[in-house]
Amino acid sequence: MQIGCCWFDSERRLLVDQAKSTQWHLNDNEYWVLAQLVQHRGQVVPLDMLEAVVISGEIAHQLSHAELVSIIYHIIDYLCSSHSNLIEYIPEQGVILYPMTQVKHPKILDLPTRLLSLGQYGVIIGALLVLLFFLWSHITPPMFAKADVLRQVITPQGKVIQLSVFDEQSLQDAILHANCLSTQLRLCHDVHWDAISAAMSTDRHYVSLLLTQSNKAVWRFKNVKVRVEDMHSPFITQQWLHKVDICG
Amino acid sequence: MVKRTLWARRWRRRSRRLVQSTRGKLALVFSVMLLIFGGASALERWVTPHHLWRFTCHAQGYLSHAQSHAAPSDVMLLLEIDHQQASLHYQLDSNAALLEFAIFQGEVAHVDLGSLSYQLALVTKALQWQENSSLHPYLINELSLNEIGLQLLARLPIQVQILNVDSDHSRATLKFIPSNNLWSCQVVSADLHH
Repeated sequence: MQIGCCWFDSERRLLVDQAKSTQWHLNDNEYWVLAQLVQHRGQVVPLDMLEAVVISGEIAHQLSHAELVSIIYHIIDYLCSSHSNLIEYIPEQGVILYPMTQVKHPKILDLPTRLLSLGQYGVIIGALLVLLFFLWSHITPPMFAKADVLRQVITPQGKVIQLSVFDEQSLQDAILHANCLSTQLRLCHDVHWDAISAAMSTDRHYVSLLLTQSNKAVWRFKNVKVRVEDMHSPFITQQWLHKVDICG
Repeated sequence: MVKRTLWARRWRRRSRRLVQSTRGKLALVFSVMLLIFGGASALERWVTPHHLWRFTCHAQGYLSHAQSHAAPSDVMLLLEIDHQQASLHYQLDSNAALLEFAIFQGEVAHVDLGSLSYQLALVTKALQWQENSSLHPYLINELSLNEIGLQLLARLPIQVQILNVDSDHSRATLKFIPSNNLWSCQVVSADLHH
């Protein structure tokens, strides 16, 4: 049975300190006390139970209180310093062997159990900060290619047209042209395309239209480049839609 | 021979002691981190990705005015990216006497694989405008240049993103950044491998 850093060999009556590689051959009294604590691990073993030494094959005898306390503190002293609080003597009550060490987690820089020197700690923190800064400086924000306005326009003939408008400068202009285009498309007798994408240039002078016809065996694609004088005013009319072969 | 064995044994003992010590373990962790970091940096810097793209794009251009009654022009764009080399070829045919064109050639400066966008460092190789050119102002807009930017042998940084690659129909959409101009193009050939 493991008691902190020691191994209690009940058969050979040995308490082995694994950290220091030393062994303690327990006498009858010491063995009895430790065996009782191990048997009732996690419980307070009454003093009178510990004082009445009853080992099979041997005559029962009584320990004095002083002898018992001496054995208990001897055992506590033998356990390594980090596990010395595994066994607690409660005066006039009993003794308890805790199942696990109540470890006070040492802080990295606290003496005397300091794990790193201040300099080493500083070097590690510094290196991590440099690495984080380097990685952060190489991160580029993602570039989204998402339409600012995306809608489906249903013509009077029941045709569904996917309309996408891209405008990185002004959402209002994107909505304006999307509304204008939607309205005009609904007035068309026949729309030749299934998907229309419109992109407003950042200098506000040009519109790129991408037209896709996907309802036939062979898909058709068409680009239209339009120069616009005033991006804030709608320019899409029925006449214009017929001119660029969007409506027929 | 005996000296060498003793020396080797001594070094082995010392290195074992160093590795087992706290300082040694710390040094080992740092060295491994440095090795991994250095290796990753080297790979990123020296492994050249191979990119091969050829796009052909045609557009109907109403480049004088939206409401103008002029006939549309045929605008053509050819974009080629061949490993580290790139070229851009614009052509505008407006049934006028002179065909307008602009040819840019240069290198791929940077590739962002995540967004499939290419930063190109191009040089203007050939230009031809007619009077009251339509292509000239269009290129100023598309390539985000100023008026004096479009001259022979001028260096142009251009960024183009490839979107919506449709292998079934050999089509892709090109987006010029930051002008936000889009082109739907035919992919003549594409090969993207490392």
